[in-house]
Amino acid sequence: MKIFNVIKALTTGLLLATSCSALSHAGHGSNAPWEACEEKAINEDCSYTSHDKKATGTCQAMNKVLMCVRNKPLETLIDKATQPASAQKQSVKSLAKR
Amino acid sequence: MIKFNTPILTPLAVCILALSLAACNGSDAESTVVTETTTDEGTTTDTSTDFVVEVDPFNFESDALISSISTQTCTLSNGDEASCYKIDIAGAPSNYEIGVFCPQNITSTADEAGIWFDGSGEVYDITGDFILNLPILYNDSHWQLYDEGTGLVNVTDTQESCDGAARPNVEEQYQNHCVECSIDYVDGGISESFLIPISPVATTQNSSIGNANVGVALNGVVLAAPAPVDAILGAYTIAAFDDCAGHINLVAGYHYHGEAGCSQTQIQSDGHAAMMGYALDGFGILGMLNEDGLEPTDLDECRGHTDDTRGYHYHAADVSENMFIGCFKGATAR
Repeated sequence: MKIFNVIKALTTGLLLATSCSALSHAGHGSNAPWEACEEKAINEDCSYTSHDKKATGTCQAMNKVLMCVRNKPLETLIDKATQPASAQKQSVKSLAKR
Repeated sequence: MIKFNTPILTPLAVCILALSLAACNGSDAESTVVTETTTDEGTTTDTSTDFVVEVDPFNFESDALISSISTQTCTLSNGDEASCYKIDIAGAPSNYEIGVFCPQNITSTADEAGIWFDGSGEVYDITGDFILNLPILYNDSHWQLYDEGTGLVNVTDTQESCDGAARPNVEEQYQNHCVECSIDYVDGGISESFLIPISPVATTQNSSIGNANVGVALNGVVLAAPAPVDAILGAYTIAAFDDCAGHINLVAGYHYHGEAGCSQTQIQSDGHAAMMGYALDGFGILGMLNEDGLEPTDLDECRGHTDDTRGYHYHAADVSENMFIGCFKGATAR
């Protein structure tokens, strides 16, 4: 019975952990520029990924809330698994030229 | 009491955890970051502010202003006394008709409505499909912007509903509405005066963007601070923009929250991105991309840099980012 309870607690914990993880991914990504600066100071470097794009910049205050302001061209993240082997060396492609 | 089938559940939980972790790390594990591959190489640039170019009143479209630009003494945010231009804008674009905002029904196409962006790097056409897809996009089943029986979209189509919804504290009755206002409610536009230092003065410490305006577009439209997306989405509303990234409320009138190319009226002869406005510190704001579609790679934290032709200037962010510049490099008029 004791072993059963331990396994039950472990299983419940794992399921809770996975559900928290799922929730953290459940958002639409609109908070990504703000979340990227949640524990940073103004002018600190930051980056975030949203909609398969990577933005790199610094934390700046907008209406008194820090958010990541991009100052490098957007890069698009390409999943290696979806690319032919010849293209896998460059898996991030700049979006600056559109 | 629920009993767990441990021989099944334990491996299952481990699998779920493993899948979850893989999902969390998948993009990092499968992708390799490389440095930028494209640069705006047409001009020699740096981020110093030694070379400044004065505000040129002739850059403004003539119909953008309701009176001639005048000069007056002003006090800047760094305490300096300076000469400023007083610029009175019409509050409506001089170079195009304000476009449509909300779709009428769930079959509307992109041509029949405007756009939406929430700062996360994506611009959405507000089509009928977009309206239908909102619960998935924002992962919240409370989104219901249309009448299931008729397919008509809930639109704030009166001045009263515009007033109640086009504000940070959206009235509850206008939740689950696409928000739009007519320019007729503000008599064709709200004129506004700006004091901008004629010769921009760079400061040692950048100034943050508050909730006030960022600058003025050359076509007579206010460049506003980022739209309060949290409040808008939190009230289950879409504060629709027209295709030029502008929308209307009864306080500010028509104003921009992003640079969609509609105010880039000053084409640069050297292929540099076109000029679209001035920030309140007097530094010019130009488009994001040059004529080859390239974005500079040497922008500072305010999204500015210097070249030999334009001095220090900003490059607007992508329209999807719900902003123009990152901060003020120069002193603004008090």
